[in-house]
Amino acid sequence: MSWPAPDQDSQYLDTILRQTRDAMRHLRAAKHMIGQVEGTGEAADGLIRVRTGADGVLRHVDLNPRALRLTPEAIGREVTRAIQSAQDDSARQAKEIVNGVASHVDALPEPLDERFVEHRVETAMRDLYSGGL
Amino acid sequence: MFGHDLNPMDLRPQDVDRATEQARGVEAALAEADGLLAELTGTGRSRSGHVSAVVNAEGRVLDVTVGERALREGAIALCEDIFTAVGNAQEDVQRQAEALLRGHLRQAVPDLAMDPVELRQRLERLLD
Repeated sequence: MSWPAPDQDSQYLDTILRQTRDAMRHLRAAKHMIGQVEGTGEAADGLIRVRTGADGVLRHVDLNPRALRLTPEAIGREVTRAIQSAQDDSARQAKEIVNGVASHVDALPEPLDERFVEHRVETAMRDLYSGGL
Repeated sequence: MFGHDLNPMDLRPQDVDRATEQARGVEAALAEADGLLAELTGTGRSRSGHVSAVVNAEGRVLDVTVGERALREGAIALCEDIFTAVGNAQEDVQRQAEALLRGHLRQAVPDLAMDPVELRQRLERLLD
């Protein structure tokens, strides 16, 4: 891992700030887009149609009255199939949005930790000794 | 960070040790809870009680059961029954997941003040 030299601290912080703002902007946009996602699913030859959000919650269920000619068991099975299909569709759409924003978040450097502090202290000590002796 | 009083201007080595120990406890509790979460299922019924649903921990529908009597009120009423049964099942599994997570964290780190549900909501608000 490479750390900024002491005389580059200000520049380094500016870069981090810019990259963080950029990542946050993309994350906010992604969150908004995920909120708009609507997956669709259907079964029983289109007699049952379902829409779900990215969270898998039902947004709309539509049953053509002709679906009631099926047995209750078949309706339950087909409704399950339609909902699962809509949930798969909404999950796929949400994943595409997340993948699209991942590159902006991955570009952020790792946060400075105790290794950086240790490195900076060692550098200062070295400078002190080499200057003083 | 994890609940006990820390003075950022006067961090002592024992504070760091304690925070590290708590972080390990939280990590272990989350890993254990993760396996149990995957096995959770939620169940829900419609107001009429004629439609029931089962969902997994992620809210994915595993089964919808429609009773004979659910068909008598027509297609629109049946749609509402399905909507309510699935929604109730998803709320049920979410309640179970939150209780499981809280229980595991309290057991692993008794003096932990952090509430996992509150933390998740705070993180979500970061992007508002």
